[in-house]
Amino acid sequence: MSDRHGERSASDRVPVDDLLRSAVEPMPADASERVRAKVVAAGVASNPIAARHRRVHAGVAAVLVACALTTAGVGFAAQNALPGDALYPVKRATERMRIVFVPADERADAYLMQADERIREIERLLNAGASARALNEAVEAFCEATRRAIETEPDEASAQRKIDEIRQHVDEAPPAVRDVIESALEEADMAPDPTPPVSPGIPPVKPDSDEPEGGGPPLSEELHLPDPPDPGPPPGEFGVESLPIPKPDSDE
Amino acid sequence: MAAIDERHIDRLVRRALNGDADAFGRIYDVYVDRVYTYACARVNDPHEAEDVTEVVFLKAFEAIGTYDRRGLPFGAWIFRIARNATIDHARRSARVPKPVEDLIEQVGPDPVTVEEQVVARVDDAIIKNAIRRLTDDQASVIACRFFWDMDIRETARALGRTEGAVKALQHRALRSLARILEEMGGDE
Repeated sequence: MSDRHGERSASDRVPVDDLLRSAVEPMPADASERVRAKVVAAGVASNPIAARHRRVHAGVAAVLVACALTTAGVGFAAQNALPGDALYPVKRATERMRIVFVPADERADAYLMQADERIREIERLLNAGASARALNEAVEAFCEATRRAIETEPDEASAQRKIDEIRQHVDEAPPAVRDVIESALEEADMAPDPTPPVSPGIPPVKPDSDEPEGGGPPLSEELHLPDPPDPGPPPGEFGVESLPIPKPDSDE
Repeated sequence: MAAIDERHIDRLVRRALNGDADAFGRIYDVYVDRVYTYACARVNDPHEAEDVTEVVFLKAFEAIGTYDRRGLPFGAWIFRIARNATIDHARRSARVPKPVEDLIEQVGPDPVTVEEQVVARVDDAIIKNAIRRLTDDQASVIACRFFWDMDIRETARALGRTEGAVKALQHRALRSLARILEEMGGDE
């Protein structure tokens, strides 16, 4: 970089900010994986809301255990049932009973968990080459759980958040599952038949007169509601009481 | 380094609040290299930086139930935790980085356009060594602006400063860094 007189030429010099932007380096993979496993486990274990959910679920589980004992384990055995199985109605009845024990402010999340279970069922049915009738039953049940998850939210903003979550869960499903759900909804919307073959679709949270009849968009668009207006941060505060506050220093 | 999609992060945080382990993992994936790079620039060796990174995420995930997305962007929130963790680490290690004096007090309208020219033959390790010699505030503004890709407003919120103060701080940090790099280059 230096000539023989020790001087540096202009072409040897680059802006500091370019150097800084290129200085971000990945943590060594083995260390990163080790730390990842540890902090994720700690996060799940120490999260207060998750812990509250686990307590609720534990309570529900206790009731279910009692029910399972009185029904000679039928309820337990039904947990892996799929549409078309003899025990599937038992599984759905068990889910409905669990909802009764979930606090009202957590009920939307419980319905969302049901929708997730339906997605897993659809995936298993597809993998097993199940009948269209069984697949339809799972798709309809998914729509029902989704509708209830949205309607249970107390206001539009909460419903919007729930829609976002559902949209993400569907987006993260295997492509084949996603296609089944979205095409089922599309077909339902296009079909004038009041008894559509697959699914009645997901009723919107509120009437949307702008939506043309027939030919609905994919699920991710179908579920979309306008973003609520951003209220912006309250002036002069960060809204987090326990937020770590930067330590004072002597720079200024 | 991919840009951060705040809406995606918000969704991940909501899922994490519901106890979704996958969401915790994805949040970690987004921020781990930024936190690690900042830690490398503030502590003395990579193993210590790994320890600090672990502490940052343990604290963040433990406290995620207190995070309010209406108050502070999540990246700024993580950065605050990272900054406090490095300060705590330095105090425990009794190896507080020695600050250099600020050289320039005048500030231009946009400090990003100040092209402090330094010798190109510097690698990442030299840059981190140089950042280690900055004050904590200077290193923090460098991390927010260039490692985290925060804009001036977000950096101001992360550091609890005004936007004008952040501009001034960044200007001084870049000047100091350029001088340090020149000195280090001259020592070669």
